Parts: sequence; C-alpha cells; structure tokens
Amino acid sequence: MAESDSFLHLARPLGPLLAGSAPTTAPLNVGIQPQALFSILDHSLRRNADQERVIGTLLGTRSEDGTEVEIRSTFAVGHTETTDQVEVDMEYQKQMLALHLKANPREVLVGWYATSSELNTFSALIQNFYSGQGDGTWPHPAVHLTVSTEAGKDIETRAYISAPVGVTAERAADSAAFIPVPHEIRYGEAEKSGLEAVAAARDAEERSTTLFTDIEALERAVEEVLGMIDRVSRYVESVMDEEAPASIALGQFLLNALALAPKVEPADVERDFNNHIQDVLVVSYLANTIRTQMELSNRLATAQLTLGGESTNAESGGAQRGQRGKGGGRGGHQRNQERNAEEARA
Amino acid sequence: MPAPSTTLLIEGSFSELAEEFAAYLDALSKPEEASLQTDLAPLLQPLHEQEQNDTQIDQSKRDEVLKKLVSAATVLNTAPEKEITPAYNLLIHLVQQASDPDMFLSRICSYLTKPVSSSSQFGASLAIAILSTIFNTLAPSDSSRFHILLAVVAVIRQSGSSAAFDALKPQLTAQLPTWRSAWELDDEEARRLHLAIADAAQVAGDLDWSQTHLVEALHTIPPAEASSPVARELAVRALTSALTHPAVFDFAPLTAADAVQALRSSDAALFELLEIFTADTLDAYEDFISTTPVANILPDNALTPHAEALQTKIRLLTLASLAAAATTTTNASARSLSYETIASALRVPQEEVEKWVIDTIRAGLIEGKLSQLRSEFLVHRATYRVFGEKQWAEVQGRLMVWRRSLENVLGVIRSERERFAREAASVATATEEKTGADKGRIERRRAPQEVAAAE
Repeated sequence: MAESDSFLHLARPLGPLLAGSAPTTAPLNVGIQPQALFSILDHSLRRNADQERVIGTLLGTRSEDGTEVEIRSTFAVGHTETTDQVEVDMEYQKQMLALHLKANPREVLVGWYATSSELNTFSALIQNFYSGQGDGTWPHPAVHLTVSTEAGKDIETRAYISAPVGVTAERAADSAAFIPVPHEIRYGEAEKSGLEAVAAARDAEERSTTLFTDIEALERAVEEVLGMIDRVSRYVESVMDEEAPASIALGQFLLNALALAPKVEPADVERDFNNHIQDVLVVSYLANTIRTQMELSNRLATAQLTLGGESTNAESGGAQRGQRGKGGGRGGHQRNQERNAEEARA
Repeated sequence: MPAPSTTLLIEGSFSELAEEFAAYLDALSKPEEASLQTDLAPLLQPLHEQEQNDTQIDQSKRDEVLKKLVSAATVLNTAPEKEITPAYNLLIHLVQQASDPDMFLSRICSYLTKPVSSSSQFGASLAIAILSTIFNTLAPSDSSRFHILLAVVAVIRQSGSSAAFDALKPQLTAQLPTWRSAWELDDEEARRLHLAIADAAQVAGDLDWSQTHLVEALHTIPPAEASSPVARELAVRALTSALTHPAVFDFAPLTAADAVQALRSSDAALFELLEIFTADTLDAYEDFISTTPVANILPDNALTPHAEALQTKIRLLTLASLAAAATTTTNASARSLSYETIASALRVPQEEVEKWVIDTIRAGLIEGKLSQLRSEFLVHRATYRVFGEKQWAEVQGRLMVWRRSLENVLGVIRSERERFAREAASVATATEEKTGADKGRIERRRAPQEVAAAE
C-alpha cells in the first residue's frame, strides 16, 4: 500500500437537522474489510477495455454515533461515461441493494467506490446521488472510496466524504467538495497469513506453494524475533560505544520491556517441547492409523462388489481375491478376469 | 499516482461563479450599501467574453475581482449555518484561480478565526471544517499550510472543546514531524506552532500534551539565545509545569534543553530543585526546602500552591530510587524492601507505606508485590532515575540472555522437526516395504494355482 497523503480531517460538514437527534460535526473514520477491497479489484479486472473506471456500491455498518464506518462488501453497478454525460444504472442499483439488504439485514448502504484515483464532476454527480435523500445515505454522509487499479503500480486507496459547494441550489446539485477522511484496511492474522501464502506462489514457476506447518511457522517466528533482538542489541552496542545518541526514554522503555522477557532454561524448553511433541505424534499416528483402516475397509468393500457376479470359482479362490483386494481393487479385478479367461481356456 | 490535485468539483466558469457569489453576498449584507454586483459588473464583463472566446484570460482583472469578493466576504460569518460551508467552499474554489492565492487565504483565515455569529453551537466546528478544506487543497509542501494549521489550533483553543482537540491529536502525532520538515519551518515558527498546540491542549484539559509540546518548543531555542528573556520565560514555564504535573517523572528532556541549562545562572534555586527531582531523594529535598522555602524559589510565590504536589512527587521518586537500588543487588533475597526501610526513607508512618507503594506503582515507576504478612515489598521492576552506562549494559545483558534462550528454543524446534521428518521418512519406507512384501506374497500364492490351472 502506498504512503498515505497528508491531510487534516477534524470535522465533517454539518449534517441536516433531524428531529430527535442533534446534528454532529464529529470527524469520521473509515475501516475497510479486505474482502470488500478484493471484490473491487475483481470488478476492475473484469471491466471493458475502453472503460477508464468502474463504480459500485459500498455496504457495511455504521456505528451508532456515525463516526465509524466499516465497509464490508460491495457490488458492481454498471455505468457509462462519455465526455459530456454519465449514466448510472440506478434501477439495477436499487434492486441489488434491496436484495442485498434482505440477505444481510445488518448491513446498510454506506457509499460508493470508483476504481480510479481521479475525481471529476461526474464523481460529484454520483456522490450527490448516493448521499441524497430517499435512495442515498442521507442523513449520513456517503463515503466515496477510490481504489487506483493501474497495472504494475501500487494500489492506492482514498476515502472521501463530501460537502456542498456553491451558493445556488442548481449549482450545488452537480458539484461537491470532496473531503479526505482517514481510512484503514482492517485485516486479521488469518487473512494476512493467507495472503502471504498466496504471495509466495506469485514468483514460483508452477504458481503453487505449500502451506507452512505449525512447526515451521513457529521456527520462522522465533527466527524473526531473533532478528529483532539483534537489531536492538546493535543499537544498544552503538550507544555503549558512544556512536549513537543515547535516548534515555528508549533505554527506560527497553529495560521495562525486558523485565517482562521470560528467562527459560534450555532443559525446560526441551522437556516441555518433547512432552508436547509426543502428544502431537501420538495424535497424528492415531489419525494415520484410522485413515489406513478406512481405506482398507473401503477397498475391501469394493472388491467384494466387483466379485459379486463372478464365476462359480472355488471358495478358496474367492478368499484369495479378497486378500488381493489389498493390493489394488481395480487391478486385482482385471487380473481376475484374465485368469478366469485362462481357466476357461484350460 | 499523486492525490487528486483538486477536490473541489464545481462546474461553471470563473466569471459566472463570481457573479453568483457576489449576488449571494449582496443578499446577505444590507441592501442600502453599494451593491457588489453592480460594482463588479464592469470587471466581470470582459472576463466573461474572454472565457467565451477562449482567449487569454486577464489575470490582473481576476485578481481585482477576487480582492473585492474577499474583502466583502466578512459578511459570510453572519450567513445561516447551513449555507456557510458551501459558500466558503465556493470562495476557496474561486481564490484558487488567483495568481497569488496565499494573500487571499490569509484574509479568509482571519475571518474564520472570528466567531461565527449565526451559529453559536457549531460555529467553531464549521470554521475548523472550512479551514481543513483550505489546508487540504494546498499542496502538502506549501508552507502556507503552516499558517492554516496555526489558525486551526487557534480556533480549537478559542472553542475550548476537548472533542475538537481530541480529533486533532492523532493527526498531529502521525504527521507533525513530516509537516515540520516539509514546510521547512525555522526554529521561531516551530516554536510558535508548539506553543500554540501546548496552549490549546491546556485549554482542552490535556496536560500531557501541553507538557510534551512545551518541551518541544523549548528545544527549538538555539543555544545562542538560551539566556534571552523569552527563553527564560519559556524554560521557567516548562519547568514549573513539569515539576507540578502529577505524571511527569522523566526530567531528562528538560535538562537537555539549552534554555534550561541557562537557568543555572539566572534562577539558581529553580535549577537546583530540578536537579534534586532528577536524581536525588527526599532527604536532599527537605534540606533544600529548609534553606530555601518554596515561596522563594520563583518570584511571585508561583510555586507555593504546588508545595504539596512537589512533596508527594519527590516521595514517589525516592521510593523508585530505593526499589532500583534493590533490584541491582544480585542477591535474590535482597530484592525486597521492608516496610520500615520505606517508612523511614519516605518519612511516613508505617501504616501509610502500602498506600505510597501503590501510588508509585500506579505512576508506573515500579512493579512488585506487597506482602502484608512479612511486611515487605518484593520488587519486580523499578525505573532507574539516572540512566547511565551501567543501565545500558544491563539492557544489553538482558538482551543477550533472551537471545540465548531463544536460540536454544530454536535449536530444540529444529532438531525435533528434523527428527520428525526422519521418522516420517522411515515410517514411509517401512510401509513401502510392507506393501511390496504383500504383493510378493500374492504373486507367490498365485503361482501354485496357475500351475494347477495349467494342469
């Protein structure tokens, strides 16, 4: 993700006066769930070649006081842009929204996205549509999310809300002042490690990767911590050699943090670890045994079936075939037939 | 891709918008005054024609129009609260097209720092919102942003609302250092900014922020001016607030400032007090107070109301010193302090010892366990008030211990993983052999039957 821009967001434009609730100017924060971002990127990949950008609707939740907006999912909305006019499929947007809200009653309409960082007067028009009364987010501000999707460049996301511009009603209707608001992409540990695994496959020839086992992940984590400790201890060393300026606050912080670091005896670790690994090994051994058993019984069952309609061979032969099923049902069956043929010839 | 250069999107040419704006201002102001619209008409007419014909626009005419518009815009503060933001946004859009927008922006800023008469409840936040729009429309490296930020801070201070200041805080923490370098502020300007923030923080009741920014401001004073009256005043203010602030226990950044060092000669008593608080204990403090009463440390008895706070603070610090001394001993049993030791060091009755220990723990200076049964305090961790070579060595030592134990853990994990892999491999080969043997047996068994069949 690219560097965030420097801007100031301290107050949002005054909302409309509502009976029962005071209008607020509290600043707004936007959180974005990764799956919403992925579906935006996916939409952008499927756009027509001549389309500069595509748009869609953002859905999510809004906190009670309206200061926290979380974007959870999106759907695409068709639109066409020419130099002097823009058409948005509003009927489709309404229907989709109604359907989506039926399936996800907890989510609400929060705004719209576009897959280009550019803002233009059409953006202002669409923004006014989304923040309007009736079908829009009114009385809350609509969030506009821009995601740049230029190939080969970093993806940049920006979030805006809007304020009116202009002193006449008709002027204000097709114009807007976009106000940048702080936003963050909220991903959890699971998403991060999943994405890391996917990213690892990116540079591989066959585009596939193996997942780390727990123990490998543990090993990597320990190595990472060791790297961090090295970095800190290099700093401390340079302070002691009077090469780096000593920051007393930093020293205090380190000492406090280190007071919490556990002192572990190597023997203890080995013992605990072995105890645990024994348990794990037993579990995995049992699991494997069960799997083998199931495989075995499966094969036996199919072997019986294939033998069912067969010749009046001696009982001993049937028993033999049953045993042979272990080697491979299908193959055994074929061999049986061959042998039957042989027997017939004989 | 840089951020979009313009976030104010409005259709219409300069002359049309200017005319609309003039009409709006006329409607707001008293009709008996000379109408701005008629005033501007002769200027706008040629501009309009130029726009129509797509010829070179006369920039000086535009500037003249803007000058008139901006000076008439004072009246905007009386506009209905819902119309203020759109109107100002339009004005900002118009001003952006001037040859030198800064000149007009500073005027607009001064209007906005005045109270908005039509909306007492939201006036301040409206002004802040508009100011941040101006801030955001300027290029990130534009040093005019500095003046806008000053105006924002001033409005926040006037409004005295802690909510507005709380909104500003995270943005300052994240971006102030980058801003300072991007705007290439000199020391004087940086000091003004930090002082303004400190003042606003004080009004909003956030003493921590006020203190941090006072210290930041103090550090902007160059060594050459360290003993100037301005510097002295600032140093005394920072010192007094640090000494009396209930949560400030680290005086090192203060002592490091040149202006504070300069106090050694001008305000010897205050400086001595600082030194006691930096490294010494209650004994030294009481000796000092017996020779120099609190009232005499600063002129005008400035410290007298805080005498009790000072006393409390030095007790907490003394306890921290005691605990730190206890942790440095290698003998594990000596890591605890008996209640008597604490009581005599702090000069408090024994039954109050626990209260003082708890207060010190709460201040984050020490951590440990109180044992009422044995009347002692077992120290787990203590803050070193003087952080020298020895403490750095201690940090290094602990890092090494941690590193070693982690290396051990890593070794265990590796060897286990390898063993596991080996075992898995041997199990695999074992099963392979077994299935191979099975097949062999089948083959063998088949042989006699085939012989039979052949017969």
